[in-house]
Amino acid sequence: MNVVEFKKPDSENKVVEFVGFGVSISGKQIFEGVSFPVYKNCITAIMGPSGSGKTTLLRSINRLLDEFCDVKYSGKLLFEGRDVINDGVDKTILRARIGMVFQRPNPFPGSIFDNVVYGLRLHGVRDKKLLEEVCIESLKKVGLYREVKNRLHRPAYDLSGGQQQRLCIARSLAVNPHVVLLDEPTSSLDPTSSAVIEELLTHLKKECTIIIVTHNLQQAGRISDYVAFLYPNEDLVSHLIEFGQTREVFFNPKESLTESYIAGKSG
Amino acid sequence: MMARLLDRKKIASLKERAIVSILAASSFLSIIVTVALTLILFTEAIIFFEKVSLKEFLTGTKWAPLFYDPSFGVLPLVAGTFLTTMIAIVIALPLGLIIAIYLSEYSNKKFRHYVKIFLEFLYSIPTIVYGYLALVVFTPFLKKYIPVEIFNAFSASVMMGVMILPIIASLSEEAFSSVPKDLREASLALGATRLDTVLKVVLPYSVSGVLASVILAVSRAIGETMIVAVAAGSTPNFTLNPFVSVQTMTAYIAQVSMGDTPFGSIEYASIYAVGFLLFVITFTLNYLSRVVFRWQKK
Repeated sequence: MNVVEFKKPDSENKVVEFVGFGVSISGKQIFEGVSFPVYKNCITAIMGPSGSGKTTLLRSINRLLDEFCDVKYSGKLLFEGRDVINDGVDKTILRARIGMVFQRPNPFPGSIFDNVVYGLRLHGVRDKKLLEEVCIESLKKVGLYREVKNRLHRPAYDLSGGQQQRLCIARSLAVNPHVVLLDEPTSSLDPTSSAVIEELLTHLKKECTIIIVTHNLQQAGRISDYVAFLYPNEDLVSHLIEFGQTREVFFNPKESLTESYIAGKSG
Repeated sequence: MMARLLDRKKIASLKERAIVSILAASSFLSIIVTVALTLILFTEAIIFFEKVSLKEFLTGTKWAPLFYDPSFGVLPLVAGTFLTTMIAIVIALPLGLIIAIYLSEYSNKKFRHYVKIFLEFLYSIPTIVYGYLALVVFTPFLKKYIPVEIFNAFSASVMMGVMILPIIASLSEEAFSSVPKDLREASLALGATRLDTVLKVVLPYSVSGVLASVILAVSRAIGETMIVAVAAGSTPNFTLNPFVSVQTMTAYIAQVSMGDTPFGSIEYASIYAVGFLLFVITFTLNYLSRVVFRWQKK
């Protein structure tokens, strides 16, 4: 494994850091010994072939993994300096700071407005004016406001797939997350909608830190600042093969496995 | 050669057509039976309505068909049906929803599996058993604490609630389970607890499924005969007091059709009128539940 050190002004500003991190689900080790930092206001892409544990890694950050499977963690996972695995962090508070966007758009039943303010209402905000302000602001951030301003109280299901996915991003932004996790957010969208979302993410990183799982190498290359490459060994346990600035990893990989993966020879 | 091949093709197509027509006839049979049944109900009910006006039937508050001076106001029977059904739903709906929520959102697979087996078991108990239990176990138990009549609406309704509980629990559980997993995840990822997620995402998403299960349960309760015939008594009573004896529409039909009422008499005709009313009510409810189901699919 190779960690390339950079002399960037904010390189010490690690929002999330994996330290010898591993996960096993129902007794099966998915990955182990993963160590890399996620820097503030950067887009970090996690890439690797199917089954390499990218999604699992992403879902352990907000401990969503715990909800539906029998999980055992090893090592440390630091979020803003605190170990979210071992320090007894309240999951609901943790999740309020970490937004998440899924593979397929998944708006809740209810109006566009209801969707965006879901998190706020959950945390006790009842002030109508405030809810409305945040709703409009969040929709503007994802470039959806102009398209939906006349139908905020119409069902969210009336929107197109790409619009729904932007709505889901707005929903996660409404609670002012420090980090947004995206799990292949464009995999179910057409190229045009995908491009809109990619463009959007590069703007959003000014406000928060973004971690994105992607199958799409071009996408990782286009939008990410850093990239982490996971690859399973012969026992199907994944390890971090390489982590570094995207440009470096793509054009000057330190590992032959990375080179062949990027060249499309394996995975 | 060519001619023989054509012949064979002809025979094959004849065979095919024969099979299709048999299939069509069979499915047509269900339509014929339904139409015939409705017609019989309707024509016999007409005989009744030649002697008793529709207005008297639907608005009268006294049901005494066997008296010397008979009166045919169906409202006491409707009230009996309404009362028993309502109590049964009031018991079965919250309990059924709680079971369904627990099974789909909290329990592990094994426990869910066993509970579902028990629910099915509950649903396959013959209703006469429920009626009997109401009469010989539940009513004597109630009598220790509240003054109830031997035959009373409450006992029968409670047992009816137990009977329809599996309908509401398992259909609602199915509705909840069909809520996409990533909706739950999205809610949890925003910092919601499981309960938040159930109340704000799962229930709203499956509200029509729950509604359909309730309508189905209601129509089942309205049509239920044995429990009420055995445990609720046979005294038509225009009341909403659950602790006295009442007679439901179904119990009346059972009573008259098993008794020695002469064929062709007005009492005899009256069961068709009551039956027709019952048919209209349950048909409407079933239709409603289908509309709701379709609405959910959208």
